[in-house]
Amino acid sequence: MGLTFGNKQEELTDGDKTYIITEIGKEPIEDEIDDSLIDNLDLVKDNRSLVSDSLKGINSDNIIESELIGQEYPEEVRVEMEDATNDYMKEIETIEEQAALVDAHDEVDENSSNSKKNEYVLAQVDINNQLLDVQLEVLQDIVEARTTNMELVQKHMDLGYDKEGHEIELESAKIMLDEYQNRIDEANLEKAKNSMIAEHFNSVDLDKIENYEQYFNAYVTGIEEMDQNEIETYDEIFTQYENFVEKYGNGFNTQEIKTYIKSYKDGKEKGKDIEEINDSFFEDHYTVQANELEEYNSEER
Amino acid sequence: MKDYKRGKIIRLNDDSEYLICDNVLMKNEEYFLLLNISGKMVNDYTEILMMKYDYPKSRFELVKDSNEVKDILTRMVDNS
Repeated sequence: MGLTFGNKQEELTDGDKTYIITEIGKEPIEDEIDDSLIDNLDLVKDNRSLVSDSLKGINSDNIIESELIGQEYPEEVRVEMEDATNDYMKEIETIEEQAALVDAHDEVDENSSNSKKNEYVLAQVDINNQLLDVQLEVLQDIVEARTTNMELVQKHMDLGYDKEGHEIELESAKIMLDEYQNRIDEANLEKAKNSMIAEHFNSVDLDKIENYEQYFNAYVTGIEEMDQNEIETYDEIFTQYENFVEKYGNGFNTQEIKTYIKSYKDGKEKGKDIEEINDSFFEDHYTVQANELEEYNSEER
Repeated sequence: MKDYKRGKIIRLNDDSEYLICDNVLMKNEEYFLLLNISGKMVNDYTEILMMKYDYPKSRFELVKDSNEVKDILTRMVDNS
């Protein structure tokens, strides 16, 4: 869960003062393997918040609003709503326990074998998908509850109560419906990326990977940047980069894979084949490195 | 694309920098708990701030009401 904006500059108001907000990056947790557990624990928290703050809140608004228009919720419907939220909470707790168990039992560290590390990340990816499945169900329930809420508010307004207040409420509800829809899209995108990660790391030849952490970090950092329609192409690009690395003997580097993705896309657009793309990337890459070295040496002097 | 969530760092135009430690979505607002990582206090601010994004108004506001802060912090702790 996280607010997403376009290129618009955001402002923070504090009474009369206004500050301009600039996003300057991410906390430097470089290790995506460690991050995979943190991501899951964050998702557990988001899911709990969506159930206890959003879904429960809208349900209780609906009960109040329907009483106001003389349409009381039958007792069994109230119990069903309560049971559904309790079931979600239990489900989230069970998955959270699994995530912690995987973390505690595997005790993966830098000296573990590639297959042990791979087993660990694949287990965390699976848990991530389970949490996203719960999130999608909760979000769908929230969308339904919000839609019911809007119908109830509309009925209350049609009965002649507080037109202005209800109009604002309806407008807010519409904005929030869009926001929940965005979150559904984001969760589906994450699931698609997880499937690609699982497919790639289930079939990768672990013996060929010299440094698993570098390889995994590069793959995951790169795929995070992709849109839905770029995921499969990304896997293809990454495999080409892997070939590039093998041929030219470079280590995996998250910054480099980002640069490579750009070169690959540009090269493909210009009709270049993979050899040409790799050769020109190699050339550009080393020219930049050579220039940097020269600059560094001249500063030293 | 900007993505405001835990672990992201933001800068205000008075040069203060904050790490987003937590966020929670409420009915029409999303709250963010910010930790000042500038190494210096700016204006009369404390080390920890809370801001909220009001979706219907499409804007960020600083949360100063102590009951509101307390309520959101309680929810953040409850969900963790």
